Amino acid sequence: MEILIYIFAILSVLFAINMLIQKKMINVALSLLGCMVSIAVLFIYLYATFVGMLQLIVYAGSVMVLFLIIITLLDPFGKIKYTFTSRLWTFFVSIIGLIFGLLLYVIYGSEKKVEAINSSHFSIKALSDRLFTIYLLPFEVISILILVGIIGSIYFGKKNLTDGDEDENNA
Amino acid sequence: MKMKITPDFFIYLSMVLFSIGLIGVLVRRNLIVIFMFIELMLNAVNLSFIAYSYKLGQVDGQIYVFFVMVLAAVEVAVGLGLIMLIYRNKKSLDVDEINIMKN
Amino acid sequence: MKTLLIFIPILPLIGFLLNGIFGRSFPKKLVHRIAITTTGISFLLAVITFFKFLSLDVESLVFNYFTWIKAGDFVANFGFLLDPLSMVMVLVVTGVGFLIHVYSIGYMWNDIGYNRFFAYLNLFMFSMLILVLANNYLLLFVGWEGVGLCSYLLIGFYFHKKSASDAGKKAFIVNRIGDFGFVVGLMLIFFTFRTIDFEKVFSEIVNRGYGVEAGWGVLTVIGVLLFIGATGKSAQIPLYVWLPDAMEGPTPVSALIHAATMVTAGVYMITRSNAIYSRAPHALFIVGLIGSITALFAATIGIFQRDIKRVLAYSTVSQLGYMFTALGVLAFSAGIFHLMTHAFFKALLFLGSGSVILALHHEQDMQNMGGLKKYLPITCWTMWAATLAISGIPIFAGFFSKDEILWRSYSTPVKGHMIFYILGTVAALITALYMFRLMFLTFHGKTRLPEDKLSHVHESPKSMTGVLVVLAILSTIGGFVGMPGWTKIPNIFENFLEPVFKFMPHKGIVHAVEGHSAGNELLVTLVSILVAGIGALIAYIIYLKKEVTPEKEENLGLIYKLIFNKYYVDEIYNFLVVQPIKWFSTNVLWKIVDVSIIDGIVNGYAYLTEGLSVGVSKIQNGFIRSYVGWIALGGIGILYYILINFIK
Repeated sequence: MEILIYIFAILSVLFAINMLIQKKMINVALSLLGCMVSIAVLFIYLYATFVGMLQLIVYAGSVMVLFLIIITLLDPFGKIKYTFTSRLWTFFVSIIGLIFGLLLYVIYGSEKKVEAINSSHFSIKALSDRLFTIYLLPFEVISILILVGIIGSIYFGKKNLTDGDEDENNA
Repeated sequence: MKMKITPDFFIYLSMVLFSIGLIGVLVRRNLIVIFMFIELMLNAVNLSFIAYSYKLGQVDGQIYVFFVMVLAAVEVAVGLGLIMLIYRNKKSLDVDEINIMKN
Repeated sequence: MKTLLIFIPILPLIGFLLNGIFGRSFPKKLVHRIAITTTGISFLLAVITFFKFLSLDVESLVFNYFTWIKAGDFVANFGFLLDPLSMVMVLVVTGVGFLIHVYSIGYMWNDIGYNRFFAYLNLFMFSMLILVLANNYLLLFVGWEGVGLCSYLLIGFYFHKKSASDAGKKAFIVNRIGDFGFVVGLMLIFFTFRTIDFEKVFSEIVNRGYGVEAGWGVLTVIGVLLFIGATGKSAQIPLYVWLPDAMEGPTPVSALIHAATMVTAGVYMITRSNAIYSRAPHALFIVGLIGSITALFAATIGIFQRDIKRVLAYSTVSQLGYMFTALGVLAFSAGIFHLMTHAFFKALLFLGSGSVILALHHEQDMQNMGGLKKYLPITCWTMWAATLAISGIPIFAGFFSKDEILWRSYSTPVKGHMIFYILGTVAALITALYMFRLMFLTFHGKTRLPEDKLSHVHESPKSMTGVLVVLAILSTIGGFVGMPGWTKIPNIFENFLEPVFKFMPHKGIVHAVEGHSAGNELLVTLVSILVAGIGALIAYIIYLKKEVTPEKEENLGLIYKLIFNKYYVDEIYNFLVVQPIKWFSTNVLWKIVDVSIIDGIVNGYAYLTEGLSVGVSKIQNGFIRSYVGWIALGGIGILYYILINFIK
């Protein structure tokens, strides 16, 4: 059982690294899909069954479909350039190194103790009990956020928006 | 079920994924790819939420992940719409060529 | 009763808001209807409150509406104190205020800014009622500043005239000097007693067993500081200079604010603080001395003034001096009594003069008057009633109150009371002199008005003359509520006010009068009648028999010049106070402090910001990936913060 989890963990890292290496957009997207599915398995292992299923449905399902549609609409097999030149590169490397090191240090230094696990803590019932009581207001607010997102994407998709200048002239 | 893998393992894993995501955002030049790496970073953070939720024996972390997912879905919908607009106007997805904000 | 009382000040406020906000679009009739209805109902409520108060038979009532300010120890309530003193003041303010509102309809009808005028008047009524009803020093101060503001607005009512706006500013600034003393006094009260509620402060004084202070104790200092405030508001030496200039405002304003009500705020405030003053003989001596000197000083200036309103202005200063003299000899109720009668006859005098001024189309110089009795009969006779009252001729209101003050200053054994008495008596002579002069020059003798103007002279409308008649009746009979001791008729007014003085240390000294025989009192009365008669006689001989006109007075030379120019006090102040401040402001504050230090700091910040922005703007280069880099740097900062603060 644990072996399986280790395999999925390593898989997710490998997929992520593959994302960095791949030159074609479509391959990057497929690697991301694999990474997400692996993470969903880890979620379910960590008693987060509901969230794991959401991960599969929302991320691996709809979000990735959206990405793929856009990619096919645009330039699916176009290769992408890297920038290896300029001092920007050293800047990036040092930033990433710093963040990685700091994260490592912070996590390493944090509390090691694990609470006693009771699977009933993580049941769907317990989750919805909290979600619809003390987290009710954020829940409602986030629904409004979805509404705003829907209206925004309809606006972007519907109107034949070209350059900003012309739009201003029309307005 | 007795756990043999400590939650800290997943936290380290999420850290690694987050760093890879950050590298991707910084290194890659294609807008859609950058966007995908941002999704990867969000996923990494979600993983750490779940791991901590497990470590602390509280379900709240999962609720946060739920909110993050909703947020990510909205972000993707709006963000991809924007990317479409940019592509239509600029005929390019290279972020280094999209620098109309400069000065 | 609690609700009833709050409506007395609230109604004028409603009137102010209505007229002030929407008045521009209201027809004139609606404007004055709003103003008069609100003040009229407020007066009716005051009368109802008065009878209710009488029937309740209590010493005082305190109503707390809400806590206004609360900071640590410091608590200021929005509350009203209803006792005989505030009752008298409320009746005077609403009553006289209502009459003057009615009068203003006629007087202001053809003036610009009709709605503005009534809005200000209503705001004034509101502030004045807050002042007299307040149950603590801070709320009193709110009303105190509110009436100051209205006074400023109404003096500068004709703001397009430079002299009017200057006079407004002068009043405001001079009052600020007084207010400074008042505020310091207020702080000292809180510092000493940890409360600012009247009743609590006074009972604290009693409980802590403060006796009469021999030297300069804390009560004396508080008393002097509060009195500085009173000299500003009530126009006493040395801060009286604003009041004569305040005559630039419309005449009803002079009547209401600068004669009948606002300027008496100082008298009210000191009477309210009787528990403090009666324990501070030094402060009391200063009050009495300043009061009596002002009474005489201002009266002498009144003799040679040519502007009819200026004569009345100096007369007001002088009469206020009388009130302070009364306070100085612990005759608080006599002071308030004079305040009331003065409100009647001085309002009447001002309104009468307003009627004259209106009839002569804004002519105020008495040189161009005379013989107006024929044309303005009602104005003439009502003003005669007021003149007799102010001069202290028996049966008229002023006689009783003035006589009471003179008798008290003669008989009460406090420091310097004889000085006060002599100064007061001489001032009474001069008062009669200048008032009869005013009447003779205006209404009697030959007309000095050109023929063509004379044909336009006509009596004022009924709304104005009606008010004059009502006030004339009050000036005539208003004094009977306070009969002198020798008549053996009980002094209703004094008995009514008695509970206000329950915190005084020595009841005896107020009634020290009883130690003297009735004969002495009669003698003092006869002397004051005689003195008034002499004054009147001199005026009769000079101005009616010899027909001396203001122009002929100039032959007196030096004395005339000195007095006509008000002893050059304004010039002296200008030289001693205004010029040095101007010099200091220009050469030190402006050229050194402002230009180099303050501007330097401000400009320095601007340069600093500019320099920094130039550097920072380079970061904004339009490349998304470099932005991401900066965000990541921010993340590093946060991680580092967590590292040093939360990880052991």
